[in-house]
Order: sequence, then C-alpha cells, then structure tokens
Amino acid sequence: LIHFYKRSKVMLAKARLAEVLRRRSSEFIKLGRSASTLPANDDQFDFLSSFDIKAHQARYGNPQEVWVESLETVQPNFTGIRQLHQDVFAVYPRIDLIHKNVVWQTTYSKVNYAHAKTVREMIHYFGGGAKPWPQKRMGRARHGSIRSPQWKDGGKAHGPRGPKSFYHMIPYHTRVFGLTHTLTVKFIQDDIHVVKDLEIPTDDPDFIHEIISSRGWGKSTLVVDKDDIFPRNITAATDQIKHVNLMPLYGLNVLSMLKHHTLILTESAVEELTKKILFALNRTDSYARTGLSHCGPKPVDLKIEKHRPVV
Amino acid sequence: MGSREKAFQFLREVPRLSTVNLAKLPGISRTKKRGYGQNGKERGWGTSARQKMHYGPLGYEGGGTPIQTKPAIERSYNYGRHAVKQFPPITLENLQLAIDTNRIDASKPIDLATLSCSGVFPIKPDKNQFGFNLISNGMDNFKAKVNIEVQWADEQTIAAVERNGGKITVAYYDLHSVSALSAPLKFLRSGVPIPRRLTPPGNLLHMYIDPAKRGYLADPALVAQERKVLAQKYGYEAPKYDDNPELFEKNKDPRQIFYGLEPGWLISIEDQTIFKPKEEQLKQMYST
Repeated sequence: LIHFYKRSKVMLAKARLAEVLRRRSSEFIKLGRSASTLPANDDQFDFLSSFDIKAHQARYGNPQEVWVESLETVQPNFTGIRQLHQDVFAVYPRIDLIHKNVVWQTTYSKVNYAHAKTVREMIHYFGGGAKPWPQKRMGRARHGSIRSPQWKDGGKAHGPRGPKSFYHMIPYHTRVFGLTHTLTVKFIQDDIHVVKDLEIPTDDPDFIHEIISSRGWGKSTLVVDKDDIFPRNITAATDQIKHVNLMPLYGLNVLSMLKHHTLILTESAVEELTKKILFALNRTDSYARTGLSHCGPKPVDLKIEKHRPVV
Repeated sequence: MGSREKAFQFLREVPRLSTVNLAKLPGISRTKKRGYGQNGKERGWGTSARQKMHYGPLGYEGGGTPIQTKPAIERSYNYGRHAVKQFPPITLENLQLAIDTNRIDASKPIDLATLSCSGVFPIKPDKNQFGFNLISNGMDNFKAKVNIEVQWADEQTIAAVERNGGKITVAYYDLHSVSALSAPLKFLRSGVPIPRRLTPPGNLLHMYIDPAKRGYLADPALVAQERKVLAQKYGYEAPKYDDNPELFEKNKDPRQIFYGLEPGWLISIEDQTIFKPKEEQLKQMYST
C-alpha cells in the first residue's frame, strides 16, 4: 500500500497532461505539413489542387483592385493593377469573429501549472500523518495531523489541482472567416500592399528602413510569400530588424496580421491564398471537416489499409 | 450605399484595428444559482422539526409542479412519429439546376450516392431518412435526359422524366444501405464487407412491385408496357433506351447497393484491390 502511494496523483496528472499535449501537438504539426508543404503524388483525394478559381463565381459584391508594387527602388514604384476576390478581401467585416480567433490563438496553448497540495500530499512529502497528541486530558484542541488545512504548512482543501490546459478548438469555418475578415479590414484600412516579388538590390537593412519611410508603411511589417524560402537579399536585410518579419503563406494567422501594422503580400501568395480560402469556403465535405475540429484527427490503424485523415 | 460599403467607409475613418480595440458581441448573462436558500441542502425548509412545519401554500405538492399549475401537454398525437420512414423531397427544378451547374453528371446513372455526394441534397439516416422522393415541382422546365434511381416518385414526375427520354426507377434501401450510399468513401474505408440490401417492408411493398410506379421489383415487361400507357396518357413519345446503352443499361440487382460492386466484396481503396469471398456458403448468402 505504501509502495502504491508513492506514485502520487500529481505525477499521474502531469504525465497524463504531457502525453495529451505531446500527442495533440505532434498530430497538428503533421497536418500542417501535409496540407501545404509536402507534395501530393497522385492523390485522388487532393481536391485543393484541382480546384478552379475561374469556375467559381462570387454572387455578391464587386472585386477590389490593388496596385502591384516593386521593391527594386526606394521610391514608390507601381508596376500594375491586380484584382482581389471579394469573398476574401471585401467581406462585411465582423470584429467579433476576429476577436474569437485572437482569443483562441492566445489561449489554446496556455497551461496553468498552479497546484496546491492537499493534506495527504503534504503528509506524503513532509510527514505528519500521526496524531500529534492524545485526544483527551491534554488541555489542547483535538487534532488528527499537523497537516490539516487550519495548520501552518498544512494542505489546501479546495485549491488549484494540477496542471490545467486551456486547449480548445474553434470551428474550422470560424477560423477561415477569421482570416477573410482580418484581410478585409487590413485591405480597407490601406494596410495591404501587393508586391510583384521580393527581389531587392542590396542586403543592407537601411534599404528596408528607407523603403518603409518613403512608402509610408507602418513601423511593423509582415512580408508574406507563398513558399518558405525567401530571396537572399531580403532575408539578410530583415534579419536584424525585429519589426520586419518574413512569413510563408502557411503561417498566415489573425494575430500576426493584427500585430503588424502593414501586410506585404507577393502576387503568388495572393493567388494561392485566394485559391485556398475559396476552396475552404466552398468545400462539400464540411461535415467531415468540422467533425475533425471537435474530436481532433483520428487515424484508424487497420491492417488492410491506412485511413488518410481529412485535412 | 449598401451596408458593406457603409462599413468600409466607417473602417477608413477610425484608427487601425489591432489587438487592443477588439470586442466580442454582447452576450446574455445567465443568473447563477447560489448554493443556499432554495438551492441549498434543505431547499428552503430549514433544519429543525419546527422549521419543517411550514406546510406551504394551497396545492403545494412538496416542491414539484402542482397539478393545477402543470401545463397542458398533449401526449399521444404523435405516437410512433419517430418510427415513420422519411423520404425527403427533391424537386425536378432543383435537379435541373444541379445538372445545369455541373453538380451532377447527367451522362452517368444517378442514384442516392450521386445525389448525396453532390453536396446539394443532404441525407441523414439517423433521422430515419430512407432516401429521396422526387416531386414534380418545376416539371414544365425539366429538360434533362437522365437515368435516375430514387426511393419514391409519383405519376407526374415519372411522366416528366420519361418525356425527355430518361429513365426512372423506384428502389428501396434499408437504413444500413442508405448510410453506406450517402457516404460511400467513409463506408468503404471502414473495413466492412459490402452487405446485401434488405427487401422492403410489407407496408411499402405496394410501391416497389407496382410497374406503374416503376418499382425495382416489378416485371420489366410490365414496366415497359406501363411506359407506353403513360406516354399515351400525357401525349408524348414513349422513351427508347437503345441508342444510349452506356447510360441506360446499368441496372442494380435487388441485393446490390453500389453500381459495379457486389455484396460480400471487401474493398481496399488505398491498395486498389477487391477481396471476394471464396466459401460457397458465403457466396450463396450474399447472392440470394
């Protein structure tokens, strides 16, 4: 019995939580990579690659237009005009959806490690299980142990118990709408600039500072390209600047967009983003996809075949 | 100016949106029940015998809703409603729209799987939905030539489909088969061999053996005759299926669920293989 008690409930709870978090995080990392970075070879369920933007016509609203700039010179350099899809960049803006996404992003990985030991845990670690003095004839109050709650250094009766995870998922479509509504607000407030590509002439950080001040871009800038490998010059130039950040498209998220004043998108990023979001808004397997958000990814290990999780 | 444009104009005038000026929608505040008084251990009755001598107002029955306050509930009007088989309707208008917008391919036979997987016509077996009922709304503008298999149809619908040279069959699927057909990939990935379709229940048999209703269990010769009768009744040419054998020659056995797949087969999509039963007993069981 003593041997059993040595493995305390706290250690069990901590081990269980760590296991859950590790499993969940590894599964999500797998999903994130298989969605966009790993190539799909002859995948008959890869509907995203065969999704045709031109076949899909938006019902309401007009497409928005945006200047396409170039980063070759410090001075503003407009090379063309591009149309942006209204279902991605001009939806009726809902601040509460953006708020939901921001709250989710900030709290889903939060763990509260507060843990107050109970009477039995205090006895286990620090002793004091015996009755301190006999029940009667001492002239003192009656006690069973020196670790009960009313004692100094006693256990806490109803305290915080063990690590508590705030992990939760908001529905898939709420997250998609978070992206579209944030992009809309940023676009309407003139904080989105579309750029032909990210080729700059030097790798000097001062070039970046001059571009930002001459073009009136905000202090903090988020530069988004389609792939995660960026040209050498811009990587070197922005490496030491903490408020100019490079990000691939698969990392685009609501919180980053709000924290950075300006959002720079390359043309290929805009195309890929439009395609992905229109696919997400019009997919016909929504039932299966939203079920994933509730229960998490469920790979089925059958001997006959491997189940491919819905992404 | 629309509401969207007004919102955009507002956004252009106010400061930049950031994490500090976000808010959620005002919610409804719910009053929490406190752990004392009416919600406490004694439920408002006190602790001593003297305190329990307050007998309550007239009609008090110890806490539950007294009979004079109970709302009138009619209990037995919908008895058995949960067990009734449902056939949610599909209008010919919506079917035509789906075909015109390339949601459904009219050059192949249409069955419950096609309709469900198009995403336009959902089917829920857990709500006792046994298939689709094709109704005649929009039959004046129905121009498509289809080979369609539904679970219920009336005379005018049948005439509207056959007027364009199409073919309609009315077939029964039990709930297990409906679940399999409505989400075929999910079923085929579950590792269960394809079951055989069950026969219709007695109270619905009149539909499926009647050639006038194009039942799947009716004699094909009688069904062909009924097509001519209906054509004469409504004044159009009876349909001929010889010139398009690809579309019209695919028929399902009464025990078959999927086109081209027999009951008893075990499908592996990942490995692109089919496992068929070898034992005679099994083969006989699945084929009858």
